[in-house]
Amino acid sequence: MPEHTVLFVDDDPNLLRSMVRTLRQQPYRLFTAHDGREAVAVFKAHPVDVVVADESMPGLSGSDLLAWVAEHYPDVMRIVLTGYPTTALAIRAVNEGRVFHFFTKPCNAVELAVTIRRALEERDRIRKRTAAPTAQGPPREPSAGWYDFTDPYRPL
Amino acid sequence: MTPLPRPGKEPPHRPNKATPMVQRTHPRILCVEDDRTLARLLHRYLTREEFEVELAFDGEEALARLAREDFDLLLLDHSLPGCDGLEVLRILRGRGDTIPIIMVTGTGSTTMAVEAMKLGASDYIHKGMEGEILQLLTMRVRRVLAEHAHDQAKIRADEALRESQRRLDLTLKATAIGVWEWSVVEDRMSWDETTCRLAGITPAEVPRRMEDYLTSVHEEDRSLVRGTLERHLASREDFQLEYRILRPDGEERYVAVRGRVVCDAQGAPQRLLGVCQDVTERRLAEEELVRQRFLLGERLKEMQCLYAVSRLLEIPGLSVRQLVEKAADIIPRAWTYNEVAVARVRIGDHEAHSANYRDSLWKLAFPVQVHGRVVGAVEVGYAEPCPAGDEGPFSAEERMLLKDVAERLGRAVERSAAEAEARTLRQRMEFILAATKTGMDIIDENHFVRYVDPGWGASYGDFTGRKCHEYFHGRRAPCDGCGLVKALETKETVVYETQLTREGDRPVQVTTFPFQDESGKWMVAQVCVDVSERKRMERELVQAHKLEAVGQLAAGIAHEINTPTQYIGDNIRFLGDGFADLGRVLAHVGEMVRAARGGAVPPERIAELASLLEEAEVDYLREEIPAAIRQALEGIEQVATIVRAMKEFSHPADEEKQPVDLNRALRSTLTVSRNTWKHLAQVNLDLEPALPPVQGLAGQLNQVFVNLIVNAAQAIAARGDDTKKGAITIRTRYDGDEVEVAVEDSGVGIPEAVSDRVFDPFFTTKEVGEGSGQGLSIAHAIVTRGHGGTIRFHSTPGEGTTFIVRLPCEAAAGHACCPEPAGTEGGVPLEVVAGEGRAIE
Repeated sequence: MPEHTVLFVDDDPNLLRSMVRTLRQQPYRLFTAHDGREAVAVFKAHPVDVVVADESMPGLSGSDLLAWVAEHYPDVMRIVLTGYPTTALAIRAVNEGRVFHFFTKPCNAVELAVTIRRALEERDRIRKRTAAPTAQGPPREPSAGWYDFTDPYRPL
Repeated sequence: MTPLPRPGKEPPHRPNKATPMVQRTHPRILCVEDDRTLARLLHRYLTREEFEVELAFDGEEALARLAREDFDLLLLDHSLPGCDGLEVLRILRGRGDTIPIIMVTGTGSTTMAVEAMKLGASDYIHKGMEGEILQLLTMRVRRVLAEHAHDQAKIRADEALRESQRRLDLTLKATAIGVWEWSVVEDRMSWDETTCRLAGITPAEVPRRMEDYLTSVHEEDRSLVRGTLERHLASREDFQLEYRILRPDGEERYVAVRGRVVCDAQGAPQRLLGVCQDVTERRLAEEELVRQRFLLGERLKEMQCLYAVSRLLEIPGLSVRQLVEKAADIIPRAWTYNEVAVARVRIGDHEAHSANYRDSLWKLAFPVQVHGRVVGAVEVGYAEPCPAGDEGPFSAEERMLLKDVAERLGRAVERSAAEAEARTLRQRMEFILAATKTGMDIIDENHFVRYVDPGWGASYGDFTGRKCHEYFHGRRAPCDGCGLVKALETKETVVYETQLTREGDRPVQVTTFPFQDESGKWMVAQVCVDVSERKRMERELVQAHKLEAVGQLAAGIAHEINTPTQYIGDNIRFLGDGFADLGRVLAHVGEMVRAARGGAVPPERIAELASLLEEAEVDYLREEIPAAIRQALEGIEQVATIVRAMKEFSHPADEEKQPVDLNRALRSTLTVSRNTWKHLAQVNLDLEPALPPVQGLAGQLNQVFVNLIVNAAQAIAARGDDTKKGAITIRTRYDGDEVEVAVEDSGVGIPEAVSDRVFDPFFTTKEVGEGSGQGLSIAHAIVTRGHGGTIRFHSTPGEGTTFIVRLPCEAAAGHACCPEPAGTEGGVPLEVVAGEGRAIE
């Protein structure tokens, strides 16, 4: 079992599927969610190390979600992947979401994969520096519920 | 004796003897004879001799018939029973009967004959032998009748003469014609009474000699009278003369004299006969007539002068210089002695003389005033001295005339100045109209065009005096919705916008002002202001707003494009990698096939293949590759759809109006704006499949729809309810004239307080930076001004809002005079059902 978990949030299922394909050989579990509501559910059910979120989603927007994560799971590395970058969005992502990286669609998959790896390393460094168990506690097995609405990650 | 029957016819009854009714052709004889044999004999004989003969047998009968009837002759027997012939004769003459009578007697007494002749018988015949008397009788009768006729003629002539004399006297008396005579030989005058009266003297004072008389003749006429007398005494011809005499009482009379020279047998003048008549009254009347004619001529000249001066007033655009010159030329002709009359006119710096002008002794001048200020003078003079006996060269009428002329000239100058000013103003106005590309016309209440400015005239021809609906449209009645009719009806200014189809659809704003002219009649002035510049700015504003709207949509559009782009690329890369892995597997399989042909496949090769298959995740690839291809194609389709919709959505701004399929426009608008509503609302399309196209600008109409759709989505978002999607319903309908597009949302609704400001520019309820407030204002402009449609809404706070756009199906551009009845200022009808809530913009 990989040590890390990455959550990908986008309202376009085709995009989630392509991300799953692209990142299938990466050394982490990849969870996907279609909108902010599902993402929150994943957070509540699983420890997450990195979250990659789109901006335009029904209900909770990407920046809203990241702000929520920054508030509730400040150690989780946050990455933005947006189809329409605006200054306002970038400012909000930095100030409220305190994101690790800001991607615009379409982005280079290798670059995205490398950035996720760096985020995980950063996450590990922070975890070691604090030398304390995360507030999240031990990972739990995913409940049966959310597999219904997210794609399963695929271990190496 | 038995009486004999009366021969011949009974004469007709004559009521009055004195008035014979029958003109006789034969002399009528009454024969009185007691001897009937003789009587019949006489009767037969005389009748044969063409006399008409009546018989009487005694004196009484004869007298009675003579009293009743006319006879020309009485043949009277002397011896008659009873009253005898002499007695009859006596009685007849005694009663004044003058009938000629021939006495017939058998006795032949001379005494009796003398007695008969004394008593007035005309002849006397003795009846001896029968043949003798008969022969004699005819001759005697004829002679007596002839004598009697002669006597009668003489009596009538004497009477006529007396009557003539009497009439002459009366005539002379009545006409006051005097008769005089001058004996040339004796130099002696004799006058009748009338002549004396005429001269104012008594018969005793009649001058004896001609020279004495001549002293009473007016001294100016004396030589004329003397000369005439001498000349006619020499020529012996009649003469006729009028001259003045002075009566002793000093009165002057005119007399007319006709004279005739009477000569002796040797031709020497003996007498001068003359008649004279007082013709003073006639002469005075004649003189008065001449004077009146003269005065009439003077007045006529004055009238002509005034008329000519008045005509100067009517010449448009006459300068003061020209006025002065013409007046100086006209005025002298009106004066009594116009051949020597001169005139000088001075107004301001301008002065002019009549052609023959020279400074004169006799002058008459009046000042010329303009607005009560003396600016010059008009002066008339005579270039020659005043004729002797003329009381003064200028009559009162001429003074009045000059005063009139001076006044009229003053008015002409006033008018000329006013005209010059009006001309300047008009030129200035027309320049301004031309410079600002403004057209103007004035139309009276009967729709006749009274004025067209030159700019209009150049573009459309001068239609002054025509009716505009006839001139432009060949219609008999004004066009529907004509601003002119409305302005005349309501007496209020009407403003509308239209396009001038004859000037390449130049956009204009027509303002129709009603006003009353000086006589109180209603007119309208139509001012047609070019709004090309404003329209251009409006277009730019629309375009600018379009960019804003596109900017709003850009987020969604970018997302809609970039997301597929992301996964299309990723999928293709995946396919590439997967194919590389599969390639290695296939290469190994190929080697194995060759090895198998060469003998046996080494077992380690099979193990290698198994390892490769696992490494290349062949099962996974077989599962994922079709999905990746399918999803990539989906993504490509999504991008293509958006790009197509974008292209439809953003038509160029300045294109021509074209038929627009509103259903399609709504669909593409929904596509490009999808990102704004897809997370918020379910969109329901209720589109009329048989919707006719409208003539319009697709780009602008899309802009209207995107505003309505985005607003609808925002109104739903404003509910703040994330749990339940709202609904946007888009309906299209066609009612035969217009196409209706309704965009209904289940949003918060528009509060009543702001409902009348919804279409105001820059009005917004959004935060600063979220919206410029131009959206609905521009949508309104596009629908009403750009397309001649209407846009309105009704809203129930808390339940939703419906915006309704109606567009004419055949949006034909009208003419200036009868535009499509587009809304006037702020004239969009608002149907607002609103309470509490938030405005959607």
